[in-house]
Amino acid sequence: MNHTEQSFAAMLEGLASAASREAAIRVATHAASSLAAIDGLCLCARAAQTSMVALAPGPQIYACETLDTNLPRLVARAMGQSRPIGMTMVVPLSESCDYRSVGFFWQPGYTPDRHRTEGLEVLAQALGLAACAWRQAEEHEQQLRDQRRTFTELQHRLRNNVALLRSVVRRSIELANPSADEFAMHLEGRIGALTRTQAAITAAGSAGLDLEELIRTELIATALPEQRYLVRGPIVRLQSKGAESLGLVIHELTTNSLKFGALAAPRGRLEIAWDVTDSILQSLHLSWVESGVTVAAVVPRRRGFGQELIECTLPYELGARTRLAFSPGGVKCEMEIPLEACATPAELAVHRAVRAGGA
Amino acid sequence: MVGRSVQERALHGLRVLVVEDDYFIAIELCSALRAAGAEVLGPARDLETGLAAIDSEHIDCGVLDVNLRGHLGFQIATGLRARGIPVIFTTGYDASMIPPELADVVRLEKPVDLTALCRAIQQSCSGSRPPRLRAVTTS
Repeated sequence: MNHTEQSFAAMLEGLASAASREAAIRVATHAASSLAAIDGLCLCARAAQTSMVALAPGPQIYACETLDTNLPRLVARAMGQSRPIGMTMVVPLSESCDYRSVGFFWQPGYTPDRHRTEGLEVLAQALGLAACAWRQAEEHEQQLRDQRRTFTELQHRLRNNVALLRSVVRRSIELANPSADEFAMHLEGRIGALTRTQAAITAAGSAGLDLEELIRTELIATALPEQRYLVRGPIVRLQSKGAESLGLVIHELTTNSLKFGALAAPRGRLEIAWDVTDSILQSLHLSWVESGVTVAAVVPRRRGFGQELIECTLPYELGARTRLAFSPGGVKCEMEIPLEACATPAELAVHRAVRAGGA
Repeated sequence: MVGRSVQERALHGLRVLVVEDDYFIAIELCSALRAAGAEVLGPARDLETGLAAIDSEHIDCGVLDVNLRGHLGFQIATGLRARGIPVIFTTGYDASMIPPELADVVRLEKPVDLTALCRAIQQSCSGSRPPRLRAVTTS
């Protein structure tokens, strides 16, 4: 092996074991400067995944990644020529590499000797490997960033949930009826609902939990046959806060209905329906209507937890307008929630587009 | 129940702004502060309401949730501090989320210890930094 071959061999070894993007670039830069010592090239390390790995502008030889069809033009400009020039030498790269091949151009009148073309071939492979290592390192860094973000987000959610749970417990105590058994039962129910909703929110991920799924999750947890209730409305994907609050509301209404309302009455009917209303401020209109309850509705003597959720929490957290009525025949609850406050940004965009298209 | 280890009415005469987007947590904070004798402003549920309160009310201390419905509420903290009003963060995030210029703000992690909150307000308003709380916030 001559000196150049030796240094390339060392370089390839270095690239193969380069542990980071920086290391790969260092090796490639070193390789390029070795070649520069032969040909007087200088390396312009411009490398992006879809762009080129280029040697430019050297006095005689230019290299580029050949997938970019505009490159002959760019190279010509770098060489100070007005017309695009053709590629003079193309070195195919191995399949494991991100780039298919590297092309070299040289000035008219210049002819590299065999020794130099061999050198260029090795350099092409080295550049390919460097680019590959670079991309892998970037992907790895991106994964690490994603992981950190997920961890921070989970930590935040966990802390918030514990805080929420504690305040729900405190409020439940404050609003409880004297019976300790009843209090424990309500609390267990609420903790269960919060847990179910959180699990569903996590499973849905960034797409957002669908409102229907949220409602059905709560109803299925009662183990009642599905014929006992009707659930209908369009797909509405919820932000986690919106899902969390609505999940609790559905739970409280369900519990109440199981105890006093349509889900307890043999001929009772429950219909939960929603739509996105087309006003200037688009909103989710959700209604819970019980019917067929023959026993006169019991109007609670004082505001309970569920009532507070509907009449205070929803307006506070989501800017909702709500109406809860204990009427003969069953409970009726109407909720109008600005879509902006409860739906995911993507969902909001879809509804805005529909609205704009329909107008 | 709250503030037993804090002096009764320890926050008497102090006007405390509470910014918190979660209803039940807001109610909990407010009633703890009232029990300790504070006059509670708010609770403000979002950035706009919180910012509006800064200009229209006399405030002795701000108790601020960092994340308000996905928006980071640092603007309110900056606004309060520009007026020389002490600020306390209640947050589920760790210290790395806090911008450097607000790094010295007392930070209480959720779920917030309500006694510690009252103590932090008391100490912020008397001008001295609580060494024990600093130890808690940097852990």
